[in-house]
Amino acid sequence: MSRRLPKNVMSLERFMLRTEVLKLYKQMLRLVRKIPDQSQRQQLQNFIRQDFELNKNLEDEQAIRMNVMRGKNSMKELERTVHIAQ
Amino acid sequence: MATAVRNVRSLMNISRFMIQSTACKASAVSVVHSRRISSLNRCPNFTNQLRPMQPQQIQKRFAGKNVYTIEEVEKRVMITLQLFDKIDPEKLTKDSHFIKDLGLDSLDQVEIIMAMEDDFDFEIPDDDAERLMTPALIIEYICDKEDTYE
Repeated sequence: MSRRLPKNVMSLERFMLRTEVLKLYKQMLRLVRKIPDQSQRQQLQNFIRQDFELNKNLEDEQAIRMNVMRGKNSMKELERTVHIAQ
Repeated sequence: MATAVRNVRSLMNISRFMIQSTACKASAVSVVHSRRISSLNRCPNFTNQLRPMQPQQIQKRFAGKNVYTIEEVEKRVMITLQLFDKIDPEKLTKDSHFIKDLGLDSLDQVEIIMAMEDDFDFEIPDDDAERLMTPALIIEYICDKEDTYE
């Protein structure tokens, strides 16, 4: 039986990773919203965005997972700084 | 036996004293109260509002929850999207797909959904959020989740 799926559908593993990345992005943005200073907030948002976009075209799942881990650690640090700043 | 009688007698005295004192206080309060009420009754308009509400008169009010019409939701969604700097307002229609027509990417879509969450002040769970790819779908989703009038 031939595969009926269109050619550009990603594998389940890749799809779950993508969902994780997007979740991470959302969580980071929510954190950044708590920063009272507007210009700092904008800068940080741009920085996060650029970081995500640099790694946008990674193919290797191992590398993607490593970057997600790195992102989560950065988010923990960010959380700590935001809470101190408030 | 004698002590018991003595205790009971002392208890009776105490209770009598307390009743008398509370009776005094109660009467004092009622005197003040009645004086107050009689003075209020001189202004009839006020007392209508001050009278305690009967249970059947209490209306239900949604404190803080907004009620929208579909046109309002549509307008607000389109305005929020037009304010988004990566979207070209010329190309924006209700059915323009964010990724295929407007050339945005998934990170932009996440930002758009967050902007909608902020604007309408309610949370959109992630699995619903990733399916909202056109303004029409967003409008439909918000209308389903909030109370909207036709």
